Amino acid sequence: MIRFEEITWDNADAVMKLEVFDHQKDFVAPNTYSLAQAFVGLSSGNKLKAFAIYHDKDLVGFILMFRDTGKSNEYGDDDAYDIMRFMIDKNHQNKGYGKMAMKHAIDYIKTQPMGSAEAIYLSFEPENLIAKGLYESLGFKETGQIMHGELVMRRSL
Amino acid sequence: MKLIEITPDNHHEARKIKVKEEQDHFVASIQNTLCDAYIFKESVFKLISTEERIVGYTLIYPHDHEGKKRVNIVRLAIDQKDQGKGYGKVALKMIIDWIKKDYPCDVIRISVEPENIVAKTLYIKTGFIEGEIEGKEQALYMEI
Repeated sequence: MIRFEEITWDNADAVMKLEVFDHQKDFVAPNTYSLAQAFVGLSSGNKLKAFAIYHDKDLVGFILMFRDTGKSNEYGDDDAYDIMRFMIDKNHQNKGYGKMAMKHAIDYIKTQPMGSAEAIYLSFEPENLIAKGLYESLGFKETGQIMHGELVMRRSL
Repeated sequence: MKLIEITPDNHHEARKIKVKEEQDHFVASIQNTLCDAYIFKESVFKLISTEERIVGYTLIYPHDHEGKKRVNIVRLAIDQKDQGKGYGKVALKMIIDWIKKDYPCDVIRISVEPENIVAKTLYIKTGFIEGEIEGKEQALYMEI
């Protein structure tokens, strides 16, 4: 079973130690960077959530998402959730957790935790074919946009 | 000098702040400090800025301790390029005034590694009184 938990004093050190394989380091920022970014976003009034991803008792990954409005959304003109960061630790990859966790994220976003939305957006480095396959299998489709060197995908809710 | 919020517009500039290498073990990086600010929802983070640019950062933690209102100055760092200009002294006084105004309390606590003579001297000159040694750090207190 995959579940999301808040990042607190109890698990923060462990979350910051999660890392991907060396050849994946260009694909996703370190979790300390993301958590720092989350603080900046929150204190500027953005709606965002960071979670530690658990499989049963094991901490396996990290996800950061925010709710964007049609007005400020740089991908489209719909209210949407943007999955900014998503990673599974190198010791927990190839066990299907990535797909389970992303499915969990979609289900979570469907509950509209930070407001209503029509779509989920995310982006990935073009060389990250595993990510591309995973997102496609969950209903994401490329929009044709390239943002900050990454291919953009959208999934209707 | 002034205390300002970190925002999406200034955080790239802010993240360049670094203490001198030999001070690395005295104070956590701005990135780790922002993580702490995320984790401890009651803590308050501010950038220290001159009129021209960002020169440092601070993190405070207001809380109740043994029936008293206490504010810990958890971090206070000045960028390596801007050290030795007296900014630390001005910043510390400014932080104390800010705490008195926005987080009224009985006592302010700051801690320092005993080898960090520069910081310890600054704190004592500003009015902090030496307290207990806990692990690698010594606490200093200022009654308000």
